[in-house]
Amino acid sequence: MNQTPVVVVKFDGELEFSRREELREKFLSAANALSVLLDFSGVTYADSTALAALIAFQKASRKRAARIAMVVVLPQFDRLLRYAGLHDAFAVFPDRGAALTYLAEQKAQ
Amino acid sequence: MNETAQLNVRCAADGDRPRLIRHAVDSFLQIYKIDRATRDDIIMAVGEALINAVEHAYGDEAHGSLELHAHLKDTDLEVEVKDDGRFLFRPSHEGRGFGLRIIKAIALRVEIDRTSGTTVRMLFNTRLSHEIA
Repeated sequence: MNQTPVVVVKFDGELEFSRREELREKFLSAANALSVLLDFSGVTYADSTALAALIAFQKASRKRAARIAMVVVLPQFDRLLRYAGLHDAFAVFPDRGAALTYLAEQKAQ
Repeated sequence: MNETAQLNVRCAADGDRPRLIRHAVDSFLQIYKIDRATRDDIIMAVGEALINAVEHAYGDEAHGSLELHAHLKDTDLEVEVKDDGRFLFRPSHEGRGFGLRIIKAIALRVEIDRTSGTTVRMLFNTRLSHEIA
């Protein structure tokens, strides 16, 4: 069976303006992946800088039909997505297990 | 609270300042026992105004000054973020420019004054802000 490996990108701390270059580089590390788990469980704050990088990554991922799942634990990050009108734009899960299950199901389809 | 509590900051509009000022606002709100979810929402909105001031207001020119003035009376918190530059919240479809949308989702009222530099003036209810969006 042909298994597409899941590339996990882990984010920690405050995802904010002064870390914008580091954020772009982190997303670039998964630029060729077809199945991506973005693990934001270690994030303590996020702002629109993170959303901009996320949207850019999602656009690039769509071009190569990559699947993305996100782990978001922090209520502030969850509300940020909602306030920006993006909550439904991503597959968001409360833990890695649920996100990996989603990605596995997507592969099987 | 009968009197008005104030926090005033003036500094250079450098890239690390939004984070530092955001933390100062969070500490200010903690002093007055504002709950975590409400603080998170307020500093999210304030943070977006600060980013706009730093990222957009000065373009490629040398950075100017950045000011924040917060006034808390009873449950009303008014926050002004001022810079010397030009207003430039970008449209959301560019993948950037979510800032103003986020601010409007959280604040009770938002005013943008461009008569001298740019002032983003936001009014929050410190008891309800996280429930109104």
